[in-house]
Amino acid sequence: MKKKKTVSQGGTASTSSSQPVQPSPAATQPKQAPTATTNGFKAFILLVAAVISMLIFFGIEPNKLWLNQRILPYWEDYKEQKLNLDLEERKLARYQTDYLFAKNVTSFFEKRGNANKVLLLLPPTDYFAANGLQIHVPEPAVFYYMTGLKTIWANSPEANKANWVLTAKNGGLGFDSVINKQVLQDTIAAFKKFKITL
Amino acid sequence: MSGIMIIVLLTIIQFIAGFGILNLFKIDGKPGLFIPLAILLGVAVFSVMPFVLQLAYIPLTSTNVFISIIIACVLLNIKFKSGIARLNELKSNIRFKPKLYELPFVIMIAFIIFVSAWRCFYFPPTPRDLTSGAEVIAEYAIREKTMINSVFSVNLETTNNVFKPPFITCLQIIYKYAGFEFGQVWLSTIVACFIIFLYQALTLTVHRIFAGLLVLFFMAIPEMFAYTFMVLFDYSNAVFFCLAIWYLYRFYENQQRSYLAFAGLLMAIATYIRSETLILACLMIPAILWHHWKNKTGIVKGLVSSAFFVAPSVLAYIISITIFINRYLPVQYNIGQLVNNNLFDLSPLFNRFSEINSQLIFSDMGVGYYGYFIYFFILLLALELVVKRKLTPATRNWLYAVLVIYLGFPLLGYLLPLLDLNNSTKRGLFKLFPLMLLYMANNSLLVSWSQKILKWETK
Repeated sequence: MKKKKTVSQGGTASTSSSQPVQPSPAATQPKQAPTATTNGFKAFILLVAAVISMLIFFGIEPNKLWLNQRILPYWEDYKEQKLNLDLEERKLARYQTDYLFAKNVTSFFEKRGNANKVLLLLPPTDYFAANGLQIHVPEPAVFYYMTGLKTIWANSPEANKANWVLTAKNGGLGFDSVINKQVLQDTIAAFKKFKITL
Repeated sequence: MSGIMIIVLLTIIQFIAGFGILNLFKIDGKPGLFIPLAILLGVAVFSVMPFVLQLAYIPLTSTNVFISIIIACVLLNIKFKSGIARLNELKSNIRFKPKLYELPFVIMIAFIIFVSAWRCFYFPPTPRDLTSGAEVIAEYAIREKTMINSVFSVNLETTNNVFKPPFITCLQIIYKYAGFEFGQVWLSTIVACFIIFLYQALTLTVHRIFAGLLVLFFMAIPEMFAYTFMVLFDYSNAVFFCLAIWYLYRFYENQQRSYLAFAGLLMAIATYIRSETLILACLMIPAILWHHWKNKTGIVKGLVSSAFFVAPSVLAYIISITIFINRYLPVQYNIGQLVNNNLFDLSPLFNRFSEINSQLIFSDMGVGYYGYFIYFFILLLALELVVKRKLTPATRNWLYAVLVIYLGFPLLGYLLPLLDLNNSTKRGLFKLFPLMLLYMANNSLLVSWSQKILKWETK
């Protein structure tokens, strides 16, 4: 194994270039070998060079923007976020109105105790917009992820299996259970007039 | 147990699993390369275990999942004696003495990784591709103990994300079981280890000031940085694709078949993460054949080497896509329909090539996405060509890999029309950047300047 040790050092330190490249000392030299030393003054000059090059790097416009609009604000966020680890608030902060909407809709059925038996026909976002409601409707898979409620789009071949329908009513949300299949078909047809956006 | 302790524990287990693989393949490396690589491999092992259980219809309970991981660790370290010897060798080589002048870069890079890792931990999974796919499956796999769960009874007509390979689903299951409500932090492990690997890889050929600056440049690619905390397939895919190429080129140098097989394994992991990587792996075959032809080792050996490199990816594709989707999932998904059925019409190929250049690379939007990284790469390449008037074999190799992605994505867009420009291709191009970075590490100008600085420094 000891014999292999030298092989492994050579193997690892071999550069991907075929030209004679002098790798950095730490990369190649065995532990016992004296490492190439840098005197303090030269190390200081290189430190200054490193700092200056980093300043120049962050002076270039896209990098400056990235630092000022991403990294530093994220750091500021961190200082606040570490004090607030509530899971629901973190979900709300990320998913915002999509999450609120899905939770509100689901809570209607949870209060009735039938959330696990519901297949809710969802209108497209554009339908709500046409009725004066600024609601983004999450797609069924995302809705299911957020709340566990099963929903369906009007363009699904299985839309006629829905047993509840969500509509816009009097500037708010209307929940109707499906009693009449013809009414359901009419609602599906009405929803289909709007484009589904994700 | 606190979150940090759990991460440390999981990372140790990942290291043990990855160490076992490196030992089996007899892969050597200085600690700075070896340790992050072992952890990255461990993450890959994690990403496979729940999938293996699922294939065997074993319930995905926390006990089963963690026992399977422990069994994998034990099996991968079956060569215990050589493993201990290798570990001792590794320990004796560990030296952590950063140079004074690399500290500004190390501190800045560590700060950026921390900010990213926190965000990854703090926020729930965000991209729609995840919440309508891997994440929702993982969430219900925890509740129902199977990946084939009630999600498939939901209206899935607006998403095909549930049919993506189970790499993310598996990791999400493990990390949720480990106590992370949103999973995800495995991505920070991948990011941190890859950055360390890249930095150490760069220091093999260029001065540490250049290495620090180049890694910083790489990290500051705005779009790619965003995916260091927003979980999706592309960052991890880029990592394993780059590692596969790196070890393929190590094979070029040392001619050891184990390195080639290891590169094949890494490419298989990349394919497991994103199935279309298989096509990119195939595009590496001409380079392998060329290598053998140039070294007069024969075309047959070239074909055998190509098989070593590509066959594991084919296997990964067959298991994770052909078998899993067709035989296990309860919903029909016709993959054949995704392929362009008018292959004689080449206009989509040229259109996509043109769009990539005009919209994603050479445009204001491109600068917004990728900063000046691509421009810097072109500048360095032009300078090398003008000043040195030739390319070294190493730079030629890395440029070939860059070309595989640059030309491979128009090809993928042509073959798979669903692979759109503004999402899939934009993120798919992430694979370019580590390859460009490693080209820069071999750029003869930077290498010669590095030598001069090192000579002056140590005089």
